[in-house]
Amino acid sequence: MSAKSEKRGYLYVLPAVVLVAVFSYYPFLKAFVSSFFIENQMGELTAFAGLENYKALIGNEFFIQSVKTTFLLAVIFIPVNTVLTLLGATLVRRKSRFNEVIGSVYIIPLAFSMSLFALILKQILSPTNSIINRIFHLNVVWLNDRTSALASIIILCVFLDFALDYVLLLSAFRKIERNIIEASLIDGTNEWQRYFMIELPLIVPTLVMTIFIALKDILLISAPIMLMTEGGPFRSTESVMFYYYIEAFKGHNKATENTISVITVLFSALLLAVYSLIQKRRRHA
Amino acid sequence: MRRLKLIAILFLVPALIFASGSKERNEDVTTVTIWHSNSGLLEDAFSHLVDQFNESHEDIKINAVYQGAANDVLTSVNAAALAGSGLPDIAQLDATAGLDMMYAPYLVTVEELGIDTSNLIDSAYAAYDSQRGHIGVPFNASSLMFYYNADLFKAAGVSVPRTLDEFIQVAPVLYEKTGVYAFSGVPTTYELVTFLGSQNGGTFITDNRNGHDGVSNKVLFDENGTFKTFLEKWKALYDTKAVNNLTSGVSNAFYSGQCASMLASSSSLSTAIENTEGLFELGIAFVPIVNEEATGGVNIGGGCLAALNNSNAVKEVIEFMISPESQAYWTESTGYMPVNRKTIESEEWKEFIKDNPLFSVALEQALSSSDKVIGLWIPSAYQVYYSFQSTIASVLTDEISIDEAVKNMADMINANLKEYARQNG
Amino acid sequence: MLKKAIAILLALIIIFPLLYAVSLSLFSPRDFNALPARLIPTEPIFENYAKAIRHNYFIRYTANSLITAFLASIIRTLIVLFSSYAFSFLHFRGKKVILFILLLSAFIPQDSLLYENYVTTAKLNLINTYMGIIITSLFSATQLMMLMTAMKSLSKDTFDASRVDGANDITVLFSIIAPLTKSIIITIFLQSFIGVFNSYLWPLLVTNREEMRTIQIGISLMGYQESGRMGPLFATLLIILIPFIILVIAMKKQIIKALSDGLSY
Repeated sequence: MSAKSEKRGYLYVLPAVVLVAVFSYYPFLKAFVSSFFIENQMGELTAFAGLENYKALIGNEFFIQSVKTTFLLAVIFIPVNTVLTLLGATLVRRKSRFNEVIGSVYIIPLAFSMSLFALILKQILSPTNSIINRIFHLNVVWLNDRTSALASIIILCVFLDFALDYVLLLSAFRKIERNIIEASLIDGTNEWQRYFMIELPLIVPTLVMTIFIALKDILLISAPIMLMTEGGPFRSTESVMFYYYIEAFKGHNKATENTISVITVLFSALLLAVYSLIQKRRRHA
Repeated sequence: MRRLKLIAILFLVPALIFASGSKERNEDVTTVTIWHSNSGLLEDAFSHLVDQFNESHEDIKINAVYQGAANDVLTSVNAAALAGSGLPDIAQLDATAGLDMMYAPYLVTVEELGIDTSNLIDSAYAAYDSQRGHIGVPFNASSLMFYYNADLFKAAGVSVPRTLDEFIQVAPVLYEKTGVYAFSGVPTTYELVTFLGSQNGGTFITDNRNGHDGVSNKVLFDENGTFKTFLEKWKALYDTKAVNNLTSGVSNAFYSGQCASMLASSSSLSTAIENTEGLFELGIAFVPIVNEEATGGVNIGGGCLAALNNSNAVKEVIEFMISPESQAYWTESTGYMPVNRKTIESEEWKEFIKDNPLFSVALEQALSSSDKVIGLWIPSAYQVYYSFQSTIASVLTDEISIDEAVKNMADMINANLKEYARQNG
Repeated sequence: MLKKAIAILLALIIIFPLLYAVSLSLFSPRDFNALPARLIPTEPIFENYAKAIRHNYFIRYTANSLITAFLASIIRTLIVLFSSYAFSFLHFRGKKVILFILLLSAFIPQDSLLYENYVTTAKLNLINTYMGIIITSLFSATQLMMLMTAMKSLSKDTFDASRVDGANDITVLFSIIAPLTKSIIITIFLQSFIGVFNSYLWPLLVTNREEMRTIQIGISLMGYQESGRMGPLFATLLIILIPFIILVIAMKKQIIKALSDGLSY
């Protein structure tokens, strides 16, 4: 290895190293250290606080509520999202004219961005005169109670995630080699058996991936809540990251800001570690 | 390749045209940036004032930037302060900014700026009084008002309630005869400053004059019983089953005739007129008082113009905005109250009021209000706002008792004050 | 048959918001408050579109979104490409440690560090700049891993042979390696583009001048919402949306291919 080659190597990885140092490691370490201190409005550490900041956070009912809400959202969102995207991909997985047309509709959500769709959805779910109520003869005052407000957030997330997850699952289905399916045709299995016994198991890795991506997104959710409910009604739809945003940028509460940063980073690292382990075991199996 | 061309035509061409279109600035001109919170009709009126100023001034130009609701303006100001650059010269802020501005090193008080405030209406100006001086001059002054659907009130044969007791009598009649809710909404900080503050001729909600004389140490509404008194009345009103706890879309419900009344800021008046024109006769009245001793009136809210930069240009812009002429135009096109006494005394205003009687109600109510009823300046104001709402809702739905509600709210705000003290010494 | 019926039903649900938005863009203020809710306008108000077009900023917002998304995706793809090349084909001391540090950053979600990163961006004087909007999106550890896996599968001989010929890194990278890993590079570009284009909270924090806002922020701050002037708002929304829908459907095959190629690694 030559010295010249060394220099070039460093040069090529430098931008990436600088970026992770400045925007990942530095802020995390800063939040981690600060979380054990009292930090004033100017960002100076004024006194050692031990675990006081963490105790204050855990003792705050709104934080606890936001943790519960976040998990509740995940528990509802993940199955709904998985079933719907899997259904979509399953229905049109074979190539045909009809399926191509329907497939074009299924990827339309890719064209929407979050704020645009949120504006439309807010009108569709208007508390005073919702078109959904009219079509289905319902009498729901949308967004005015916790259940319907959470539902509206889930609808937003499902719609926005649908196209991407659908595309990934569809490709997984279409990558299954023809001869595997043809071999099963000879066995005389019917369509349903083929689907559940052969195709579905083959796309499980992709399915696991979409589920983990969705899980990470929903556990760090904040923007959809800002756009749909602003945490309301009655602060009942605040997620952990929404709570963080409010405390950090509206309440200037440094203690909450630092401790939540640390807790959520550690938690998502744990999640990712679990995912990596699952993938590793699958590869070795 | 054809597809790539499609992208280019669809996006890149307009993108490039507009990206290169940034304006050049003349160096002899001082630009005064105002971050404001006026949208829709209010933005139209505000832009008109800005244009008027810019046309009549060669050397100063206002650059007005909408930043969302008043609280969002505050968030942006705080974020820019943190950044150490990019602060506007003037920010339009409301009571939620009080605490931050009182301690903000970059704030220029009205006294420091040297603005002549002798013509300002006292109670409107007093709203921005702090231990450090006035944090801003009132610009868009408003107060809580009782909006009602006069057609529905007529149909039910009832008159507009003067007290909450009267409202408790009237509400079921309205509901029964017209089939729509007598009232929609759940009170929150804004309404409570009036409902609690007006009791006993004028009462504070937290010590240190609602935080205007330094950060509050504790709440007062538990000891002085004002919150309990209010909750008892409000619960009785809700128990008539003629009231609905809507938390969003209240004004739409009112405009579309789904409820007979609502509490809203006087600044919504023009919007309300626009939205109800041809649908029903709109009425506006004083906020029903909690009981006969609640004579404090209403809190003058709305917003102020806070100077974040000490210069003659800033002074000139602020003086222009509160001048009798500007205030006349501004209030007549929005529903805000004039903050300048000269505006009210002018023939033009008297003429305007004669043709638009609804616009005078808010001012009458404000002029008869005590200056003890002032905005609440406390930490975590945003969070407290929603906590009030949820606590009141839990009382109404019998999840907690009135005494528990008072205790919960007092504990929550006291805990916030304690946490603020812990972190900020 | 049942399968087709369900497929159509799902398609209807997905396309409903779009169709309803078209209808809403032609509503009069009164239609918005009508009871029960209206599906189609009493009479189409085309004036809404005229009002939308008269608004100074919405094209600027769209341009900002496109510029930042393009810039971010190009820079990010280049950074990932060069570092992946260095890790795969060059030798330098501490390579393993540096790679480990880079990959470990995947475990630190930047969403959790919004406040600290805002402060850093502000101190770098990047508020209200395109660079500020994209600065936190310029590197992705997972994408580095994806591209490295792809490069690993290339034969080492391809690389060594071209080195001997005296070609420099840039030539090797762009004439040999990049074409061979093209599909992954396109995937990285597309993923970055979609991610940056859709981000909401970060651009909201780092822009406070009207001319710097992206469409995500701009449209929610257009000031029509509170005032009951919803017609022009939905007209604006559609003007923005239509080109994207045409694009997504026209490029359907490429998008699906690009996104799914990322799967193989």
